[in-house]
Amino acid sequence: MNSDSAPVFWLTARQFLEGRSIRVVAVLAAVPLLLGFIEIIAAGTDLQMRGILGQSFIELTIPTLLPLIALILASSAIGNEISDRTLLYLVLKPRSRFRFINEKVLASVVIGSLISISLGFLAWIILAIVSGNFDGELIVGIVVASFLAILAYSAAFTLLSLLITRVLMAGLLYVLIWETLLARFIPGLRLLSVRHYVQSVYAQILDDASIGVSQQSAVSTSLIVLATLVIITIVFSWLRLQQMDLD
Amino acid sequence: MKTVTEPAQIKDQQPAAVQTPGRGASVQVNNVSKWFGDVVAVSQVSFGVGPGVTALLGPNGSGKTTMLKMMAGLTGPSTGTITINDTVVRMHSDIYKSIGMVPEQEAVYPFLTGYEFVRLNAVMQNCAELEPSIIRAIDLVEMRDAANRRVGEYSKGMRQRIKMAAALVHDPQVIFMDEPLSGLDPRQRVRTIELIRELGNQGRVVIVSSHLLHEVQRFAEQVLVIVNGHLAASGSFRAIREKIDEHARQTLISCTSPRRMGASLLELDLAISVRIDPTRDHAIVVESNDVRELYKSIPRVAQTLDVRVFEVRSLDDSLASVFSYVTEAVR
Repeated sequence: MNSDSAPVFWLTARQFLEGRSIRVVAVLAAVPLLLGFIEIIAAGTDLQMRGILGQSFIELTIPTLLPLIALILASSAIGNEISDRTLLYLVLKPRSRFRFINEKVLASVVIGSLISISLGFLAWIILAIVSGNFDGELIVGIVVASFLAILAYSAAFTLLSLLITRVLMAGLLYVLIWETLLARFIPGLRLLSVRHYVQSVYAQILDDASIGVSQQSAVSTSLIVLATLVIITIVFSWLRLQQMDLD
Repeated sequence: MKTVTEPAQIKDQQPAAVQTPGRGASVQVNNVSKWFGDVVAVSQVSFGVGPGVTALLGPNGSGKTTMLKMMAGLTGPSTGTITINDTVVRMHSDIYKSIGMVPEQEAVYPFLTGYEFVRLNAVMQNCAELEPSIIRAIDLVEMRDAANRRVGEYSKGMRQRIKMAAALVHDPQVIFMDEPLSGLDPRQRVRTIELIRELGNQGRVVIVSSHLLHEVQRFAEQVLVIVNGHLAASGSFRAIREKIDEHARQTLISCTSPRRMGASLLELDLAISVRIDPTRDHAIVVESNDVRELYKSIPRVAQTLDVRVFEVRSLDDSLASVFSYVTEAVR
């Protein structure tokens, strides 16, 4: 895929890499790495890979860090272009707006996944070297769950960027109140949260009861729900972009 | 070359809705209104525009930018239709093969070079010969020397020119420009005015919005005047200018002895009426049919009367007031 076949993707990716938001994303994605270092200092070579990295992924990365990474990227991918009005350079073109939305979401997914997965991998490899436990299931779980979470949240936050102007504030409230608190502590709401399906996939890759994900959905169900969410939000984003007034 | 197809005369005090859009025009606006909540931005506007340069004139906030955005399909009309070459603009992305737009806003991707920005537009327009199209567009706005610098380092005028190159890279037949001379230095202004005229002479439909009357007369053959969201007048620039000049203009003069100054101006037939400005001390409002002569005479009269003049200011500078002469029915 070169810059001529997917110009919006490349432009958006470059926009991320040249902007400030990428630094915030890198800091968020580095949190598991930081926790790993703290564990190394505290426990030395006795550390438990799944105890620190596996558990923090369930408790912190999936419900909070990954949605925040997707929020920052998706909101700057379209939200910033709406507010500074550069969006019109891209939409006043003889190109499908469906393709435009897809390229925008893809840019958020690729950049968000690359950063979160590479830093997650770095944390895993350091802890693996220190502990001598190269837990293959754990890194597969981290890679798959990171990708799924970034994909689902990026599509959802892209739609949110097209619907409201204060997308960062609304997205932050959604992540912290809905995904991190309500869906975690109110059992009935978990089926309405992205975190539940991502955690279900992650837990079943690890196949470890001690990981602490109760009432999991089946992997197939989780993948279907996440795919449906992505398709619906992309279609609604396209419809919204078709109809919205660009000032 | 006839540009504004119908009506080709000033529509003094004529309701906009009764206009008949012209035949064979490239851009047709039919009974278009646009409102944002309770605010009516554009009200029942109809006109047709053909090849050549047409200026969309109006004071700030008159609705001309909204009109331009509706014509470019960026904003949908609340009622009515807008077509370009018989195709409804809104929701038909293929139409953008033949449209180029230079928006008013300054924001351009600061991390791209001028070349990259024009290239991005060329790629998205599916230009057949990419490199020659890019070079031609950059040369057209005389930006070759700065093409490899980042847009973030450009001056306002340079950004304006690179936006123009991006809008022209695919050789569009219909071009919308929103305040294209804004931010340009005098030399660039001259060149841009030449370019706009050249584009019009090539048979393209060029619609340029501006709030500066003196600017418009340098490139536009036809004008559409929008005041308070209504099409107040349309036709040749000369006819509208003459209509405006027929009316008396108001000038505020602030000086040490306004009564003596006013009396003297009346005596010399430089003013048709003089009144004391109740909102200010030592100021009069002079109504004159020949403003140029009045302005020339004020220093001489002041010297003769030994009066010190603090301020001379036209009260008709804004287009809103100038065009109120020809658009009283609309207001």
